[in-house]
Amino acid sequence: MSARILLIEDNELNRYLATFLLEKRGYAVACANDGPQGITMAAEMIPDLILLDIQLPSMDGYAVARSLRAEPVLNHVPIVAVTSYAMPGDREKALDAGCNGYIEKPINPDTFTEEISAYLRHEI
Amino acid sequence: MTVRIILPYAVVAGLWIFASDKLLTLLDLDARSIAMWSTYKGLAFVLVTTCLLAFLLRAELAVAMRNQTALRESEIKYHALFETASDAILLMYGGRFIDCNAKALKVYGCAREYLIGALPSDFSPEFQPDGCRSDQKSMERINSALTDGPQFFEWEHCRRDGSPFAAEVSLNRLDLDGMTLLQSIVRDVTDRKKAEKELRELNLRLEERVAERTADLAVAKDLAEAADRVKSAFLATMSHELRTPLNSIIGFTGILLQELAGPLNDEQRKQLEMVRDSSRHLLELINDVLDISKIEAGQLEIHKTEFALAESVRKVSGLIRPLAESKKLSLLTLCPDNIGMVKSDRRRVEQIMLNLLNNAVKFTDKGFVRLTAERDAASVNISVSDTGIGIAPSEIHNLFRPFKQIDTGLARLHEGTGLGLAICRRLADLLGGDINVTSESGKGSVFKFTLPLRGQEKQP
Repeated sequence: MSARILLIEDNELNRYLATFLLEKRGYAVACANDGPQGITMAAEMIPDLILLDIQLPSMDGYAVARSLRAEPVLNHVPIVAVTSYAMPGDREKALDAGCNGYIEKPINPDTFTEEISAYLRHEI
Repeated sequence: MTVRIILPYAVVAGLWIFASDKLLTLLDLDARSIAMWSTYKGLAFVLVTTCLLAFLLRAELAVAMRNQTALRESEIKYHALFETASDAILLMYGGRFIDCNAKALKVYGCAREYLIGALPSDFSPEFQPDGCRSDQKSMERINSALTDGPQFFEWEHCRRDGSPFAAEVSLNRLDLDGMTLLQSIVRDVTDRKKAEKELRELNLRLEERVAERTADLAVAKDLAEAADRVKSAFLATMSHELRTPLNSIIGFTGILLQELAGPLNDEQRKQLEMVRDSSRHLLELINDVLDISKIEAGQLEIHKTEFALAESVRKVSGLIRPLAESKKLSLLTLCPDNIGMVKSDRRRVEQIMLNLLNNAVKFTDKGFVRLTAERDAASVNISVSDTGIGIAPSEIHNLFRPFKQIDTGLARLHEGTGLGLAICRRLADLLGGDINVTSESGKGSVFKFTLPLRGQEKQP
């Protein structure tokens, strides 16, 4: 069974891009448009990995990560922040909020799936 | 005087009488002759003593005359001194003026008869500036001068017409012929006081203006700093906003080039590679702008770790080697393995080395690019030299300033953001180090990057 990845991302183009790359690689991808929807979907499906955009409407990625970490059933699911925030301390803030990794946008299409699979292997 | 006349007269007359009597006795004359000679002798005595007296009196009169002349001359001289003195000089007896010079009349603005016999308090306002009564205070001063010695003080006077003037007064006791007098020297200091007051006011105004100007400058500085912060914040936001669409451009170009969406023909591949290269360049630009705005906003954080410099040198030379080989340049690195550990921000040190090497390769068409790392007691010196086009002396001062390459026209020949060296210089600063350059147009350049071995970085 292929790994299931939940992508929480508000930008339609970025969602399409990441989904395309990941599905080509053989992962099953589910998408959420914002934080609350992402949290609900995560609790329902218990994915193998969550890709989380930080700049989201209404509820930002840091808050989403903290909510996900607060759910006991989701405690072990790796969360990787994918963000074009490149200000100092962003990486630390993401890790403090409970993310396991941090990928800076723009993603490198040649290496993106490799980076993702590293987090999955690490966890499994 | 009496002694000087009587004594010589008595001596000469006595001797004359004695000598003439002796002579008469020795001549042994008869009585008739004696009577006759006695008459001659008396006449001679009168003649001689008259001449002697005349001589002595004349001499004495000459001396007296000379003394009198000298006295008169002296008196004229001292009177002239008294009268022509630039200060008012007055003599007082019993607290009243008894004499004064011409200047005093001028200072007090009245004729002599008004001044003589007057009290100092007659020519003063009722009260002095300190609130004391003028008549009481002037008597105190006079008594002090008589008993304690000379007095020197400031006094508010007024002229006969009542107009006030500030004075400096000096009181001295004089003892003349058993009389105790006071000499009072009065100087009108109204002009000086006025000048002093003006000077004080001028100083005050000047200080006020300096304070005003300082405040203006502080406001201007605050505004400039605020504008600078706004600029940096704007650049950071812009860079972030620009990265989002770039994510799609780079991402989808990558997908297409990986043929994940289907096979490409050669022309499509070639054009997509152009899109990819341009978008990568755009990303570099955005990253550089973000870097420099972060540095200028003081938001760039330095993360220091202990790392092996030789390893970093190998890493960056490995990254730059393909570019050097494609231009058929030799890339030499001289970094002994035993150069050891450095405590600094590894990522930033590598960024600086990479940037210097990248520039060297970019601006060199034949010859070599060489990186040398050496260590001394407190620092590591990394120099990157090349045999490239070099830098004209007129352009060196612009080298480390942001966006300057774009202005030179070189940008068209040599692609780049023009921000690299500006970033390197600022990063080196943040790491407590320095970068400088020596270059000769047409012969090549040497960039020297000095990095402290540990600690002592400047606060951003």
